Amino acid sequence: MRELEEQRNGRNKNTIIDYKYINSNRFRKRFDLISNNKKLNKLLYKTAKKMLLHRSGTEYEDMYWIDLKKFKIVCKITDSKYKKKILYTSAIKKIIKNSENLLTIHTHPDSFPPSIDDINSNYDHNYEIGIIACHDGRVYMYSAEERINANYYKMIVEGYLKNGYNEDTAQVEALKEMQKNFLIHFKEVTEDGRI
Amino acid sequence: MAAYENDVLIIPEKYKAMSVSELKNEEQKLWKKIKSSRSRQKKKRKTAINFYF
Repeated sequence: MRELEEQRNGRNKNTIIDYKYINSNRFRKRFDLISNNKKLNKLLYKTAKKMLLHRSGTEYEDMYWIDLKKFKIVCKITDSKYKKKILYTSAIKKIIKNSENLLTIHTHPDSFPPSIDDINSNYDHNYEIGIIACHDGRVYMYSAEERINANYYKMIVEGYLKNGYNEDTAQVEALKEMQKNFLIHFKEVTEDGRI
Repeated sequence: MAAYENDVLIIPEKYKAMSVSELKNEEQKLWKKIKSSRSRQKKKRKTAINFYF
């Protein structure tokens, strides 16, 4: 099944997951540090693992929406044909409009932290929280109570790039700065809870 | 409201062409504008779940 998916979409060695790590207790433990609700943490772990196994070796993303009151997956996109982006279908938009207290979880093939679109979409759609499962095993969580000016964010990232940071760390540092100036929350969910 | 989430970061060429100090000046100018035009924040509907930020 895994091989078929990789053949169909063209294998990308940079986005192949570490199967041993994704199946390990160390990866599972990250999800225990997301919330005080064990049922939710378990659902997130199972969903993340499923998405990563599905998208390993590709640059496509999967996304799930979870109702936080019913602990139920209300919709999902698992057949996206667009690299590194999620386009909402009209059916998805309708479900989102009629739902409250949603959590989103999606994959990042390049293992970057939440994008500016992820953060602003969290605010625009009033999602309670967003989770990102990276192909390299990292996990991020975020929530926004304010929109971020995209140009401002890009300037900050560019400033870090000019100072020798790589694309990944420049974005992480820019998000840390955004946290100081805007009402957003963001963190990497590490194995031991350290930031 | 955007109906997509694009994870590819595209930095405008004009920012790339700027020096570090020019970029800093632009950033400060924009920050002043953002601060003056800031709208009220949205209060989120929250469940009883505690997320560990």
